[in-house]
Amino acid sequence: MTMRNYVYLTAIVLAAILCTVPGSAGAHVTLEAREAAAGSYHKVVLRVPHGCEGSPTTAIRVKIPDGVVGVKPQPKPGWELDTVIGKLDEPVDAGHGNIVNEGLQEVRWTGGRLLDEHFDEFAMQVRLPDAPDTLLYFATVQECEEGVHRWIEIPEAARSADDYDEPAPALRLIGSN
Amino acid sequence: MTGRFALRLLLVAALNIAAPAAALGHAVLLGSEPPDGAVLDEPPGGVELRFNEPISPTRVQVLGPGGDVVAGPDAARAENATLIIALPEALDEGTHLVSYRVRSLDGHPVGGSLAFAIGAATEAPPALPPSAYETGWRFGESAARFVQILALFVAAGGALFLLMIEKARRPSGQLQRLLKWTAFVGVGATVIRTGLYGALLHGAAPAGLLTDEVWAAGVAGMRGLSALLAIAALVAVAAALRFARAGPRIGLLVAGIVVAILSFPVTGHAAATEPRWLAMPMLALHIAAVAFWAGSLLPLWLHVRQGQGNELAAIVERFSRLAVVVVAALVAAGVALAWLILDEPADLWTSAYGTLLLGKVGLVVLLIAVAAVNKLSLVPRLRSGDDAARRRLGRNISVEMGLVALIVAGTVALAQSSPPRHAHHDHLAHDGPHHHDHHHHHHEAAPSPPEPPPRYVTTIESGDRQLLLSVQPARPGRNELTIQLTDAAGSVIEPLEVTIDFASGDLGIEPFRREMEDIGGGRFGLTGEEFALPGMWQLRIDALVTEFEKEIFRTEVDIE
Repeated sequence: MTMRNYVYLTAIVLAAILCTVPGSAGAHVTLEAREAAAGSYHKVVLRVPHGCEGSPTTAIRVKIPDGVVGVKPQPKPGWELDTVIGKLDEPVDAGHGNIVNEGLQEVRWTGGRLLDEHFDEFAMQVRLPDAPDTLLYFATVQECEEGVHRWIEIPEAARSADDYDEPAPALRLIGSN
Repeated sequence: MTGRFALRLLLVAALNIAAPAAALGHAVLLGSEPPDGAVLDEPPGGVELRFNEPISPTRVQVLGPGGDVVAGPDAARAENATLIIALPEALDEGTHLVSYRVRSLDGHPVGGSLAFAIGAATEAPPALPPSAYETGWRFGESAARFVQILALFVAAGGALFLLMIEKARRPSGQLQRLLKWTAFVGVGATVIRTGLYGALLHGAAPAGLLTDEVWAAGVAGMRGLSALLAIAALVAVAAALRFARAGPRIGLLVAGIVVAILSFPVTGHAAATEPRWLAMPMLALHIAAVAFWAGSLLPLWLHVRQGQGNELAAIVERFSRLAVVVVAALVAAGVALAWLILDEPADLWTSAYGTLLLGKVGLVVLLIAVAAVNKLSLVPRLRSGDDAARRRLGRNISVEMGLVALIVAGTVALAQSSPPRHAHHDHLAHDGPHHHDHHHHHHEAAPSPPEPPPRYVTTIESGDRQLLLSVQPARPGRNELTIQLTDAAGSVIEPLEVTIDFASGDLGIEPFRREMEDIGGGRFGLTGEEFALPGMWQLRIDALVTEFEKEIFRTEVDIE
């Protein structure tokens, strides 16, 4: 088959196929970095681009996923920073020969006021588990003066985060064992 | 030269359509007039939906208490961030459903529904007997669909053949006439099918085909779009043949092919299958491959019957080489689609849908066998002027055309049956008077009269948890829904909040959300007129188990 015919064939099929692929959604609370090296120290940055239907954000609460240890949240002026410590389901090796039974379960920034027209980031340093090719979900509750957004939806089988209105911010771990 | 330019233009256009929207924001509904769930004394004259940013309407409809379309897409217009829908002055009493789909600034679609009632909400009507004409309409619609699909394949496939095998030369007079006639028949079948589908939705008598409502229902939503695309594609191919200059001819042929392929994924089982980002392109690929193969049979047959020697051999050989790639793509895409649609491999032989699919696959295997005989044994003999081989090839191609017609008929039948769903019907031991019925309203032998009202009960699983859902009476109008959540061990879980999304693909109703009330004992309930119309409804139940964990359950309920 000539070069031109290959081009025709590919172009036509590609054009038709591309037209069917839906575009991506936006405006959710998301992570700045979608991928990170497994087993590394990583700065998790939560981006908050909106309030709740126009109402200013007053609290951001993040649940630390299983396997993530050494959590050190970054303080923000104008916000109170709290952490909730709880018993872990299974002990975790935090590195440096340290086996840990209790860990940070939740990080909270409260008492602030982030207008809907403004944008801000909430960060913490963590040590990621050594589990390449897995997805970590940082379920986040966004409280506003009026209303709440729970960014906690984890995609069901054969679905992607694009199919949901309030997907949980997700971090993909990459790297070799 | 113009052909290449047209091609580049098409590629640029396609890439622009496919480019992901800039992640800015998407529109949110702030409020509406009348508000969701309002009961009004008089028709409101119009509906206003207020969003937080400018929007443009994509698909809007208002359904009346009888399921008829009271206001269609032309009644909607956008003024900055407000969607204004004009309603007729006089409206029937009962519950009306406003279903909207709009596009925000970044192109991201936002959809939902809201309900309002005039006078009083719709009472559950006495059970409607199934329409006497339903089988007739269904059969007619399938037959029209069969003709439409064949016409689209012959036209789109013929166009692909002309472009790639015949190097975009002007086709023979006979092929031109056949393609134009095909386009004419295809357009007719599409129009007829639209009317028949509307009649099926309404359960109308044959005279219903003369009314506006029936045609309006047939044209509404994605079906109308698909029909429009099909007609546009057929017209484009027919028009292309009129041009002597290669440029416009090639451009129109390419446009016809792309639009024809696009008209398929818009509706149907594959279009509703998740994940959409995989199912739609797989379907498009499958359709493109089938169109090329099926549509090439007619021009090939004409060539084989009339052509001679080297010229014929060259054309057939070119097709034969290309066909290997196309068949591989067809099979791969088909397998991917089947894997996405069926939950379990066992469904292949246990369900009606699965057996039909196996039948279709059997026919395809037969088709590939005939094609293999052609390619390996007969085509090589064409160069040497073997006339017996040429005639045999012609007969084989006729057989292939017959098989293709059978396969298309099988596909249409497949579209009529539903892929198996795995709703579980368990007889869980519960306290209290929970009678467990199966789908279609058996009445239990109650020890004392009166008979318990009919209800639909099902259990849905997600992760480790089970949700028991009860819908009473599962008829259009006022319904009482109750849910209870249990964990793997069977103990009751008390969620913090429960919401239900109601949607109906059949009725063209976008999802709308309701909050359930905590009625104690770990049960949540909702009473209202959400199931305003009969049809297949898709429910998504979100149970907030902890502040950070939500369990999502999905099921379908047939309201009749």
